Amino acid sequence: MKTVNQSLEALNDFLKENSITGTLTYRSEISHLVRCGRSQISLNVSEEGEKIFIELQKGKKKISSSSTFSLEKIAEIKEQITALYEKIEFMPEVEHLTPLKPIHEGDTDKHVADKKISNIDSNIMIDLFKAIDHEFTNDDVEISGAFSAGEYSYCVINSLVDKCLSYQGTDFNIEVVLQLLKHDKKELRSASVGENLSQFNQAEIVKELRTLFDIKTTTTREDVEPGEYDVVFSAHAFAELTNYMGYLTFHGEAYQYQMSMLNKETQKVGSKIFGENITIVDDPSDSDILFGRPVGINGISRSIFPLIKNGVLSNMFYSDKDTCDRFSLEVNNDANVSSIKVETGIGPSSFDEMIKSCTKPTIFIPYIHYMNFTNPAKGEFTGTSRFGTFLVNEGKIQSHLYNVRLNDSYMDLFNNIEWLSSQSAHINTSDTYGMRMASSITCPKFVKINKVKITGTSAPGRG
Amino acid sequence: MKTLFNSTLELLKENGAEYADIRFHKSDLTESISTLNTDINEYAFHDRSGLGIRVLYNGAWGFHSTENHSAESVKNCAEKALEKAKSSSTFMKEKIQLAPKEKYIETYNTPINTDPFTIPTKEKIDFLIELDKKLSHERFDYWGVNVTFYKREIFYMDSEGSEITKNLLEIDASFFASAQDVDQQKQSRNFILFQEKEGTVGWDNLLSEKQFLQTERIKNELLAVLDAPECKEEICDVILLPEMMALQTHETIGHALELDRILGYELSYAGGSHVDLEHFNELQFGTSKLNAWADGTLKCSPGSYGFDDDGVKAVSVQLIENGKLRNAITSRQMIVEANKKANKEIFKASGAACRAQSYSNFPIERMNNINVDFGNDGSIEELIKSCKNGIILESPKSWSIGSNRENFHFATEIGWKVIDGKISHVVRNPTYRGDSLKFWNSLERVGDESTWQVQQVFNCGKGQPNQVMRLGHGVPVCLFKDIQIGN
Ligand SMILES: [Zn+2]
Repeated sequence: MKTVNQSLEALNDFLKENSITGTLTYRSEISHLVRCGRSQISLNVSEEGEKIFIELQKGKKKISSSSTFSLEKIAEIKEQITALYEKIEFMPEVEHLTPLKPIHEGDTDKHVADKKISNIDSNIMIDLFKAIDHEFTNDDVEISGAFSAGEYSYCVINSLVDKCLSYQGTDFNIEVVLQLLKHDKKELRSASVGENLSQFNQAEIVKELRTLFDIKTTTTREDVEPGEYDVVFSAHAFAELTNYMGYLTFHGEAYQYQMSMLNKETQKVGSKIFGENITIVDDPSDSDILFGRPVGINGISRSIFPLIKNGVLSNMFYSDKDTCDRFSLEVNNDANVSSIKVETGIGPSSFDEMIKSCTKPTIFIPYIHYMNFTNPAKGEFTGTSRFGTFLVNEGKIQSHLYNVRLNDSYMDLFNNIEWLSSQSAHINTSDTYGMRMASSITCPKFVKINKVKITGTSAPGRG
Repeated sequence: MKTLFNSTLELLKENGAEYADIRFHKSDLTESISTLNTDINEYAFHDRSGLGIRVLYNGAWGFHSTENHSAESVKNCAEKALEKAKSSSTFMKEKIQLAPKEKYIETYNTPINTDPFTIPTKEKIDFLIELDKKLSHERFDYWGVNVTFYKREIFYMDSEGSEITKNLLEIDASFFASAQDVDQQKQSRNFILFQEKEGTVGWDNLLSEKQFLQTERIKNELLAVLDAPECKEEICDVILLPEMMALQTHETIGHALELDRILGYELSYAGGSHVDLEHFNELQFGTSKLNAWADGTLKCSPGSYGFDDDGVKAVSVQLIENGKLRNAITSRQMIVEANKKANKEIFKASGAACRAQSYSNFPIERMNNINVDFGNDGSIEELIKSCKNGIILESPKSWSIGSNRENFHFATEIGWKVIDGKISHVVRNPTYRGDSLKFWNSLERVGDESTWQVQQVFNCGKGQPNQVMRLGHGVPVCLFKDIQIGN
């Protein structure tokens, strides 16, 4: 990382020597992935890449480019900068563009890569699937899943400062799905995420799969009528809801463009938008979260950033200078590197306790598949449950439901929370599009929400 | 590079590889221009270059990619790929075999008249800003144009003697306008550049009056939506215009018929398929009016690439014939596996649909051009005339599909209510949903050639790590009977 920082600083000096105003951003990744399909290894791949992003500004004109980076290419990159700066003349002026500001200056670099992940031997990843195969050797299951692990870094500097800011970290995320061939192709899933290899626990994954297998092979299939139900969401399902809700609530840019679910006239920072039992925060220094990144890729310094406090909207992320310029605002954070945490409550935290607490008919949803907004302005969404939906009543699992389709709004859901577990879990939210960037949400293990709208099921003929 | 690649493949064979290939993106350029409210929003130029090596050893795959082109790095990349294949081979129940293919030493070029990379930047920006200006209206809060030009030079070489060069070019272009409706909710209309059946892919295509200059239509449609009544819940006929037909085809025919998905390789992530191997040549997927293809040979489309990343020459495969399921979206590996699993020869040859997003990705089954044949139930006007109570739907707003592609829920940007063979009024926030098979078995009328066009798709995601793929859908306008809408 040190040599990258030095060469980026040298390139920045080149900008200054040539009186060019601009920002240079370096990003790198080393990624390993083993995928299992049909109970064998279907993919065992790795990739490595380094990129440089160049953004130049001249008065009210701007231009950007990116290319593959290597330490040997510095002379070539200087040529690219010169050529790009010549091209900036052809750009029309953007009236609202404000002058570039210096990035944060100070010792906030954080390099926490676990080299055991960076250079992981693919046999460690393969062994997980072998162990699962061994455990279920007599159970007629099809094993599939993925084990992804890697290192990523970013480093940013601009022509108004001398030193760059950088971050280097690692992450792994695992998901395993079993399809029960002798049990109506029921599916079950286990997933985990971490930032160093010591957090990987093979035995725990196998144990969780066994527990779920035993539940699923002893419950009967049933179908429910569409309607409103009390639903307990697992941490995975609730993190997914929070993640999607976050796109429509926490991004100041979307709010300004009126693409969020908040009404710009009536709902502002300070407005109560959710139930009192909901508190959400992004704090890179919190030891309870994964991937705490004290600097943004946009060069901002990050610290505790409350988003929702007892249902009241406390802050929105403004990460993008262009949008801020358009609305005369200041960049205040970088949502791209945030690690959101939903505060816990006083509800049950173990699976057994959670089931026992459901004395009235309640649906348990462990996972939401293919969520999408149906009407973002109202925060309305749809998605289906997956990997084992249960009907719980009188403190017991009554039956194994077909996947149900949810059609509801985040506004209703986050205002109808009955309880949140007292313990939390980390859930992977990185989307694996583009370059590696770890992302996770920390949230309660279970969350019970009242009056959730179910509009259909995957039972034959009930789409 | 050729000599280096040749010796690398030789070395891999000497070290026990059964098969290997190298995909080298000699150049991979992207130029994006976007405008917002008549300002330039972004001008960005990206270039990348690199190579990926895939190795089959003892019936198992290994893959590694690098962006360093030195001889030492290529050798190192090959060694890593081989090492991974060796590790994979320790957990294989059935060894991977590849179906036979022809050896090719050929070049494929996307047909273009004017390469957009040869047009001066200023000329491109000026044209797009002019187009942007046409979209403005006092009621609109935002509008803009987004154009991305892609140009790749790819060299492929494999251990079976094929050497294929591909010069590919694609243009992803769209524009939009948005505004607050009567309930202060955001509404928008988007237009996506489509391809003419006999056109070219080039800057000239963008200038075509027939499509990219349809700003007036889009503006008027958005204005109509803003004050329109909400779409009511009912069961009625649905007429899908090309953008919606493309999405419907994509989600419920395309993804459902990827052979790797049918076999269970996508279970943990994207999901499975309601189609099983025993359904081929048995299942009535749709009415007898449904004829669908996976056509890699269409003249102009992001789904036409000459050869897939298995080095198999593009073909056109009939997926559904008069409603009956016949074939799937296939690769060399999967057809061998599927035939073995089914204990009969369902798939005769690879459908040349194995593709990777880039050099850093491993190729998997991807749609090329999943097309639906036009029929003889007339023009759009005639389809409308034939409809007693229905709705015309266009432009995807949101989509959600069951994990086995067995059902779907789609929202569209605009709908036109049809009563007694005439358009009555525009409706706001239309949605429709259904079971995939039931839906295609409700296909009652298929529009004629005048309704058929090639929709471009640049954002199809699949696999882990997720690979975004470019493809096409040649589709007519169709009428479906008794569909649930507005729910
Ligand atoms: Zn897709």
